[in-house]
Amino acid sequence: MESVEERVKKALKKPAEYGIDIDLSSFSPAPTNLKDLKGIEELPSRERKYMEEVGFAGDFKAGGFLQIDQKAVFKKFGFNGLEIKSISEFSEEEKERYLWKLIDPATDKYTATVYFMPPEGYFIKSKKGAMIDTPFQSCLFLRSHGAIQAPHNVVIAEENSRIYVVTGCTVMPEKVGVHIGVTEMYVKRGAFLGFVMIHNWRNAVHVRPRTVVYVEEGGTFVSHYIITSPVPSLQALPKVYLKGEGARAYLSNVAITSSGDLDFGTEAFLEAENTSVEIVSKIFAAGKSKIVARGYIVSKAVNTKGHVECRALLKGGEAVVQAVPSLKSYGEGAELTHEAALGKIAEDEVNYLVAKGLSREEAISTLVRGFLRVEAKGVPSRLEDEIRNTIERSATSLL
Amino acid sequence: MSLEISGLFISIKGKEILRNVSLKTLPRKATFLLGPNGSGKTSLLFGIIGHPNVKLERGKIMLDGEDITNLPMEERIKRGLSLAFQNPPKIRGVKLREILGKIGERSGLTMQELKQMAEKLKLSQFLDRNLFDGFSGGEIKRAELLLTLAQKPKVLLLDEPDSGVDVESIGLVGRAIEDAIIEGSSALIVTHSGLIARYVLAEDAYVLLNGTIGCHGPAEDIVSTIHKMGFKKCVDCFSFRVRR
Repeated sequence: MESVEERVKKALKKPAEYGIDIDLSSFSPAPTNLKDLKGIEELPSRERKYMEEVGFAGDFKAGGFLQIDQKAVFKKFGFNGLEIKSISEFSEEEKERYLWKLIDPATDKYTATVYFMPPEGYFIKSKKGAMIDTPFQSCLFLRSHGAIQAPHNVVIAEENSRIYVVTGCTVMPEKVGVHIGVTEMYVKRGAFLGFVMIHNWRNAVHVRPRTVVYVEEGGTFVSHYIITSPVPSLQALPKVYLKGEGARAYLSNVAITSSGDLDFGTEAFLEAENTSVEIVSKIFAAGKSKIVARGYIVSKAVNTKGHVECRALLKGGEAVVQAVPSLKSYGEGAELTHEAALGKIAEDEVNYLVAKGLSREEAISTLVRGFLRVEAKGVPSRLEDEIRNTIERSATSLL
Repeated sequence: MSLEISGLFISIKGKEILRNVSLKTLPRKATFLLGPNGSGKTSLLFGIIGHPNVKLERGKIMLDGEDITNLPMEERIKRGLSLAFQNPPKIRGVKLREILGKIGERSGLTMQELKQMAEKLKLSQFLDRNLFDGFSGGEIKRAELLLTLAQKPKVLLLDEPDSGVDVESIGLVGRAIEDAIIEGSSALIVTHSGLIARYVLAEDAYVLLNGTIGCHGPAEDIVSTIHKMGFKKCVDCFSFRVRR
């Protein structure tokens, strides 16, 4: 029988199901020999500024984690209710218990690459019943040119706990590379996990996140994924399994870009009674960007509800956006809906705002920011402001 | 501040909509513009404001002695024109408060003053709602008037502020228009029904028939005639005068 190693080795040549294929042989594994930091103030101010743009700043009250290239260089412990580790610190037993449980490393060449890279990434686990409303902050920063950064993250919201995790991913402006993040998340019975991911790859990094979320009975998973700048290519289709009765998920994806080949969205599986999911994608596509936005829901249980919404605003004549919603129900117990709308900035709205005294530029900017404004469901108000400000900043930079 | 237009010809997508329209508003007074559906009332207001959807073919628009005929919409607004749309667009994700604030920044009104204006129009609870999204007919009219008045216009152009609104709203709208006139604005009020005349006093009225001014006279006489006999009387009278 074929060993796991052999199977994953074969997968090193296996393209992903969606998105353009990347020749990984022209990139090298990111360095691991970086020195640990006592605090992020030891970093050059320029790097800190880029990290701040993706939300990695402040006092890390609930804890902080910084991975540069393939090395966790900074970790700060926050509240008692939160266990934090870097994956490289895992014992063999922990590796066996936590890694590759939700994701098959042989899924494609990207997961296979992560499998063979030196393990690094964050492990966050709440204690049962812990209610922590201050977000844990993490940053995955690519510093080396031509490098593959491959964090493997594990997040566990234990029973009846509530935690928030904000992850910012970014790169030095002049560097090119590949970022493959594998993230396995568990939302245990009655728990709440709010997960915010902000990507700012400065048109330099190919991005292939691989994420699976497992939600138990009465658990809630809320995700806000924001792509704030162009990327050469990005492909991501996180899978969310609502496995326990009454489990819920809300997934918001926002992409603001003027170039690049993006294929992203969410796939949700309603596998228990009374589960529900809402997938909302908002896209502002300018320049020569090509975007495929997917929203898939599969229902295998009764009394389930799911909704997919995709809205895109295209600016200029060269951007291409395709909305791909898909609903599938096994049996009659599901209520699944989708809506999609792709269009340009409405001229009657621009003229209306100009008639109210705004300049044409300001009118367009107001409308685009309004369009991209997402209902930041399920996050504390400070985080909601951060999400809104991040989206507004990047939309403004593109106008 | 007064507005005077003379010999105005307006087309939309190559089709003549208005011909040889002349009218003027009086300083610190309201002027009514009445007309049946499709007579070109909204097109005239769009022409005055410089809306890109209409094309001004001939004629002249003077604002307080300045020829603004060839100025773009943005410049006409800066000079003190402001239009309350009949059907303003619903705008998702943009709050009433946000647009009000932007307008206030230009007109020099503080947020406190803007809030007071909103309170007068019973709109305080709408400030954090998306613009016109889910508003009733009366709420739309009041919110649109609020935004228009926040511009502190010298000449108010109001497109059917009395259509599709409840009695309470029309009372609020009427009082707010009267206040603006007392404070120094002049107003050109387009109305199909003339209902607004119960709340706003006007000196003059014009009747627009089939793209041209068919009648001009004291507002009281014209409004009462139309209330009694409808626009048919105007059409007959106008046709008679044209034949002679």
